[in-house]
Amino acid sequence: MKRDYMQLQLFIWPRWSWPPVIDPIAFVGQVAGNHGRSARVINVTSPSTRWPGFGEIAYVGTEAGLYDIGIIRVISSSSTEGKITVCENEIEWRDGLYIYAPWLFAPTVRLQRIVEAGGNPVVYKDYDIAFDASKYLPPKANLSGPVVCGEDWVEFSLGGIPMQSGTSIASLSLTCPGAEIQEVSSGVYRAKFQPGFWYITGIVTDSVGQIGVIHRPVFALMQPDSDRVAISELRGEVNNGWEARFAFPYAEGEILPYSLIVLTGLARPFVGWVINAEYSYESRVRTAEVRALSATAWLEQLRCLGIHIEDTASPSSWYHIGGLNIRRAIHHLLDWHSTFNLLSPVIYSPDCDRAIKIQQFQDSNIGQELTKLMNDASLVFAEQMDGTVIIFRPPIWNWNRSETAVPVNSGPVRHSPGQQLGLLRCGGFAYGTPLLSRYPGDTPTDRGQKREEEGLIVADQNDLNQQCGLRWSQEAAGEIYATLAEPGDNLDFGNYWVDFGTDSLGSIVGWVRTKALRSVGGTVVTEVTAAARNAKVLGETMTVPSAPPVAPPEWPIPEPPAPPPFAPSGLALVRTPQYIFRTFNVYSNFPRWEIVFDLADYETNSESRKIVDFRYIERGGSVAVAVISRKGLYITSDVSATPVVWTQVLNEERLKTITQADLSVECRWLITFVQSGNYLGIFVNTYNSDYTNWLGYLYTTDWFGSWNYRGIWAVGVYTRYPWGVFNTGGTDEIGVYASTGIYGSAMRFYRSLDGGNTWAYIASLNVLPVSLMKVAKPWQWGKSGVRLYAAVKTYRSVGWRASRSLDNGVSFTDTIPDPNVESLGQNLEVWTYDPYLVYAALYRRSTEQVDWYRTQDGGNTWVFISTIPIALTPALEVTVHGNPANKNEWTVCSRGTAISGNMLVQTLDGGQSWDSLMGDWYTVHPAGNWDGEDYLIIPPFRVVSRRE
Amino acid sequence: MLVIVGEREELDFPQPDSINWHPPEVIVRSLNDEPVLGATWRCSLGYEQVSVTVHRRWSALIGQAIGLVIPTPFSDCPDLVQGYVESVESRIGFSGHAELGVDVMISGIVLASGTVEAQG
Repeated sequence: MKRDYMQLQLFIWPRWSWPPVIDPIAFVGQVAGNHGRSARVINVTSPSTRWPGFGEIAYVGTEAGLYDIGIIRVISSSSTEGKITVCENEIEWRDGLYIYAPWLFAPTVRLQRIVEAGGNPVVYKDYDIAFDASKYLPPKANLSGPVVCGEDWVEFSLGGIPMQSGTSIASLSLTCPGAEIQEVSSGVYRAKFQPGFWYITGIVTDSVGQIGVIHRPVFALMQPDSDRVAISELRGEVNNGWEARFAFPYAEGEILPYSLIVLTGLARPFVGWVINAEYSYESRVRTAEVRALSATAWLEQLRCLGIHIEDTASPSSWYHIGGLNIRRAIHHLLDWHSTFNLLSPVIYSPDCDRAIKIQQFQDSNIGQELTKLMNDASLVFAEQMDGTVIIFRPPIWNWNRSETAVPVNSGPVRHSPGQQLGLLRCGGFAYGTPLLSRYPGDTPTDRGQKREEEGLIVADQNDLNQQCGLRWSQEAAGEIYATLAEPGDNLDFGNYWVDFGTDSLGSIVGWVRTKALRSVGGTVVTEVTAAARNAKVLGETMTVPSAPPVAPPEWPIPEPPAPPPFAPSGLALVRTPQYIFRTFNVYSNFPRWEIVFDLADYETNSESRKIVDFRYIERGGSVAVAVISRKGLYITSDVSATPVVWTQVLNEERLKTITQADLSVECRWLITFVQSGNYLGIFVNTYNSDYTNWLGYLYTTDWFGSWNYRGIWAVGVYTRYPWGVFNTGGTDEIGVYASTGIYGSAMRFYRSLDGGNTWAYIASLNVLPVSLMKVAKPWQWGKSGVRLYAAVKTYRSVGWRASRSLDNGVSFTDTIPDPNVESLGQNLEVWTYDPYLVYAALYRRSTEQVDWYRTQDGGNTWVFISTIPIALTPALEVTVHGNPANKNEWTVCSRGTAISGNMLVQTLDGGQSWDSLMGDWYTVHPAGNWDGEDYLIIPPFRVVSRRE
Repeated sequence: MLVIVGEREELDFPQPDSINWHPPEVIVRSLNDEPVLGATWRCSLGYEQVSVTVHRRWSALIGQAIGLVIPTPFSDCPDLVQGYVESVESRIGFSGHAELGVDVMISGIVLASGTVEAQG
């Protein structure tokens, strides 16, 4: 089948099902009459049938669709009156200006095959690195690759350096820290790059003097397991809006998560990160999924936040916003932790016409709160053109291969309001005190010093000023502010890329990107805006403007890895005591949740009504979901349907019928269940005549055809915490941990070898009472050499123990990641297909943070990975959930108080970075119920979309 | 036979020698003992003899969501169905050696129309 690979195809990745980026019913209107600067109510003429509503973002430009004048948030509009009310601004509202309000969504793009070379399709991930071909930068530096890092020479050429008339290059010095650069011939150089991220810097001088500073980044993708890397190819030509191209050539090596993807030349810039890299054995090419979101879109969505934080200078009387006090509101801000964090619309207040306004918070609790948040969550507060402040979290860069993630440096980024000289596009920030420490035992006071010791590269500020047209100032120790040039400054237009270099570990520590759109005098820079006019929108095909790269060499085809049991999907569930929530786009930046099960529809007793467990069950290739409450069992055959149809399998009346043989006890409530094939067993809490609680067990072996009940003597202990129920995957061996609760004896372990009919005491786990849970995967039990883990919380003492059994539970040995932390709930999880891979989320009460640990050797050694960005404290319980299809995907639920709320965060890289899954949770979740508990990834449902 | 992986990656596989459809099984019985069927079908593709390359290509798709164009119980002509590759099993002959036959089980297939009687 012949395909045309000479195209760059952008399309919506169906798994996340985002709508197109631009609604065809965009609003376009023109300002009618001069309104003057800072006008709020604008007369507008427009034939549009859709006028923008509250919170929408409108572009103000000299042409429809441009935002060369500014971007403004709409408060309200009236088509009958022909008026649009906008937020506070500094815009000079002139007659004839265009107001354009696209209906923005968050698209996800995936770049696929582009080039066919040598008969093989070659994947290139093209993005614009916002490189400038101005006088400071040689317009061409072509690097060819891939190469073997540190072994192969990478040749590149420099040329096109503008000279003064009658002069020539007198000297050209290039340096690249860590790589020796050799001159091959005139204008042609070569170097051996080690894995990492590299610069080429240099000075160009002619007979008169210095004429330019070369400041060119050379990206080298690192891979953890070999030395092969993909060297980028930089092209400086401006073509159809692609000011420069950065290409990931075909590479055998890994394309690491959080590789930067920036696309411009489109209708809007896109900034994203690689979230998943794939290798196609069919075509022997590597593809990467890119999580991308329009930079303007996410900024604008941030600006939709209706929170107005105001310092009342009276810390005791917080300013309430929509029923939330400031602390709670700020915590809501922290519901997002991803690189493209979006704010929950629950704090969308019609009383506020600004995005976020933080005023004079010096010496107030608000200031302390914000400072703490910035330190803890590595937030960046940035002031927008219209005076609003955005808060976002910069991307976490992790290009090194060490166990410990590199801290992200971030800090305030701001520019003066009303300047209208530029638009802060996106970005994090470098320098300053690292705000997110990932070193165990780190303290805020020694972080900065530690960073200095590690050799953080601090570029010359004058250099940055010269290149970027920005003013950089160090206003406080460890902080550098970027401010757009003042009026009268010689601001160079175009895109500017400011990179802050790497730290000693070769990690990018942050970046800021600015784009000058308008000069001081108001002259529109057509060279820049033309890019938008010529751009294509998503869904169309865009021709790659440059020649195809050289075909990569044939490399050995690696052996395929073991396939996952099923492909990941975007469908996931979360349970709370009353509801089951569903999302179809859990891997998106902003999961949308909906309630698919309400226990109140089935059970009227609010006191006993509680969902206690749920999981998916596979039967005949179909994947169903079972939900168990205290008084019932509910199963749906299709959790992806709308609406979800639930079948009630057990209710209180039926349970009484099943358990009537044991009249001395009352089946108080169900606890949890195990299932394999046609076998399903349920552990129940029984209430004896002596007012003690006992563990009972009922099971079916013919899939609900008949039930067997083992009464209070099924297990033989009274218990409140039969955590850690598991089976072997067969029907003949069911095991259960049973904690004896408050009655004094140690945690006891029982096992059944006949499907739950009889139970035998195995061992006692020598821990203090109120021990909680173990975690062991069902299939591990009874297998030779398997390991059994128990996370143990001791009673009335601080400390957490991860106990390990190598003899099927007869004896346990403690393995303690950190004695100074304690567990909250089911905070230890073994990956399904590797009994030696265990993750644990440990709550450190002293600092109110949850640390993420991993062991890969079955608990012999534990490694601190990161601090989970759960800023909501106190947390009552933290649970860890793995995905059998992806050993790097872990989800952590934090169940907090009614004040602190709950959190749902996910990592796709083993804990190096975390994304919030909260999405629009607070919109969907009824107020007052904040105790989300468990999380469930669902195997794929219809993830392949029909081709058009 | 056309197999679609992801959004637009089309792979051309040999036509299987047999296509067997397995209707949804009973997922659960309600309190009134009424069976509730699953939402998805399974389809097994049988190859009497395939090349090692084809075998490997199918094996590489285990766990992946795919679309494939095959005859369905409710259509006279081949139609695009979607599911994921549950298993790829080699056929073992009496000699103990693989006969180069392979059975591919596709699960999670939602067919647009048609009803089935409850199984079991």
